[in-house]
Amino acid sequence: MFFLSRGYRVIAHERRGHGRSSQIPDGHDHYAQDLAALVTHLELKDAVHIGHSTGGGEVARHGAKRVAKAVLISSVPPIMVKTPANPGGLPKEVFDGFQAQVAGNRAQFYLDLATGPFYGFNRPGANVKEGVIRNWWRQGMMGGAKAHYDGIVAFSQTDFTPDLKEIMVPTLVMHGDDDQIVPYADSGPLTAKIVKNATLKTYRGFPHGMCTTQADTINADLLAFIKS
Amino acid sequence: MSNMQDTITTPDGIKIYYKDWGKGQPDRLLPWVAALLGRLGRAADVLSQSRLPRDRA
Repeated sequence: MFFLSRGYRVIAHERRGHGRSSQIPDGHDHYAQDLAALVTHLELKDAVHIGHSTGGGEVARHGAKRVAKAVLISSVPPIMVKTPANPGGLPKEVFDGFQAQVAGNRAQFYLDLATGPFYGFNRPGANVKEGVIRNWWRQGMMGGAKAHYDGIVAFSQTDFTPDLKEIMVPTLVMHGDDDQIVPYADSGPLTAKIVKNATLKTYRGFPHGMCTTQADTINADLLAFIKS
Repeated sequence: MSNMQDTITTPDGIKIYYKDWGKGQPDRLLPWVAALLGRLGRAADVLSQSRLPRDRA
C-alpha cells in the first residue's frame, strides 16, 4: 500500500512450492527462472527488484535483465552455510536441524520461528504482535512441506557469489544487525563488498523481519533509494 | 488501480501465482487531511488552554 499510494506499480509472485504456486520442490535456479518468466510475461522494463531473505537470492541470481535497481533485504547471499571459503557461515548441522523440524512437526516449528527469532519477539521488551505471528504461520503452512524441506538446502547452500559479481545496477543492501535468521556479519556486509555498485544500510537492533516490525523506516529508505 | 491476480505457466509446466496491483495513484487527499487535522489540533489546543483556568477553579 505504501508504494501504491505513491504512484508505483507493485507486483509480487509466490515462489514455486510456496503459497498458491505449484507445490513442487525445487531450488534457486528455477526460482530465478520463474522470476525471469514473470518479468517477460508482464513485459516489465526498468523495474526495481526487491527481495527479502531467500527472495534476495532470487534477485541476485535473476541478474540485471530489465532491472533498473535491486534491493536485497535481510538476504541470504553470498552463502549461509559454513565452508572453507566462508568460515563465518553457520554450520551445516544448523540447517540439518531445520530440516528435521520441518519433517517432524512443521506447524510447531513455524510457530516457534514466528514467535521467537524471526521478528525478534524473543528479545526482552519486544513489542510482540499476535497478528503478525499468525500471518507468518498462515503463509508458511500454505506452502508444500517437501518444497520447504528442499528449500532449506537451496537458501543455505547456494553460493551466490558469482551472481553478485554480475550485478551492475545500483543495489541497496539492507540488513539488521540483530538478524537471528540470516546473521548480519556473514551476509549483508559481504554482499555489499562483492556487488560493484552497492550501498549497505545497517539497522541497529533490527530483526530479520524488519520489513514488518519497522515498516515505516524500511519503506522510507526504499522510497529514497528508488527516487535517487 | 487494477487488482489482477493471475498465474503464469513456466516452460517446465509449473504454475506461478502472482499479484499485479497495477500502477497506484498518488494519494492527493493526504496533504489536505494532514492540514485539516493540524488546524483542528491547533484549535483544540487553544480551546483547552482557554478552559484551563476555569477547569482548575
